[in-house]
Amino acid sequence: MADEMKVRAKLSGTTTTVKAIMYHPMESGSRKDKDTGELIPAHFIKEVKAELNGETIISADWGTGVSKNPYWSFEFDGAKAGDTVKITWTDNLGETGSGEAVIK
Amino acid sequence: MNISKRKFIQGSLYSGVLAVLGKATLLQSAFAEWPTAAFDETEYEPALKGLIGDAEMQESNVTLDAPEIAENGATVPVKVSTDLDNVEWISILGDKNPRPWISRFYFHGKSKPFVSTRIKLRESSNVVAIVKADGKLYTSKSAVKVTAGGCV
Repeated sequence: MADEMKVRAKLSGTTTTVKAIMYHPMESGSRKDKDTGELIPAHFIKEVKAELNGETIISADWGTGVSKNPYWSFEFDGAKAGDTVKITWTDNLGETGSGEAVIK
Repeated sequence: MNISKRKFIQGSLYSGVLAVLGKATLLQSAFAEWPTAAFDETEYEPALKGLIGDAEMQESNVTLDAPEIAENGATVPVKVSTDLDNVEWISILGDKNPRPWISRFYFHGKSKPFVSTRIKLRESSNVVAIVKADGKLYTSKSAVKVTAGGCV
């Protein structure tokens, strides 16, 4: 799936700033379908991690309070232009998604 | 010749197994302890207790950047950073949300103790950031007025 995430990684001085948007409904499980009145089942990213050249640099646990199509930005040192940052998520249904960016 | 070859093969097998084990441990530690006890609670105090137990928090060293007024509670930008060293994690909560615990970020290697994210707020409430560094807890909160609640 090409459209599951957008990732940008930019080096400035010694610090790399990563900005990512993951396309995911982040359904809380407490919202009702407007037409049927039935609860929409919970569907949300639970775990996400970012790797630099295959090594985890930052990770997170998320609940249902993270907004739809989650935005996440973070910073780290020790990378150089051309290195690869990869972000991978796993949701409560066991689905996964990923995206990566070459540091510019 | 045969023996040294066998030893070589054994050696490389062992290091292969160790490498795989090492990787598995690393993955586990990166994803350790998803905070079910905090997530399951529907009130702020129990959710906080689920996250940190009865530990004391110091109201210092945490910079929390959240808007005073959020027009759309479904997507409220929040930034958290700290001047502390050896930061283990940063967690974010919304004290009036149906599930007050929102997220927790873990810092490895050369990552900076900073996070920028967007959260849902059901109504006007306090956003609370908690930082764990060197085994101690630090916190800051910020009141956000929500004009249209997020579908949480």
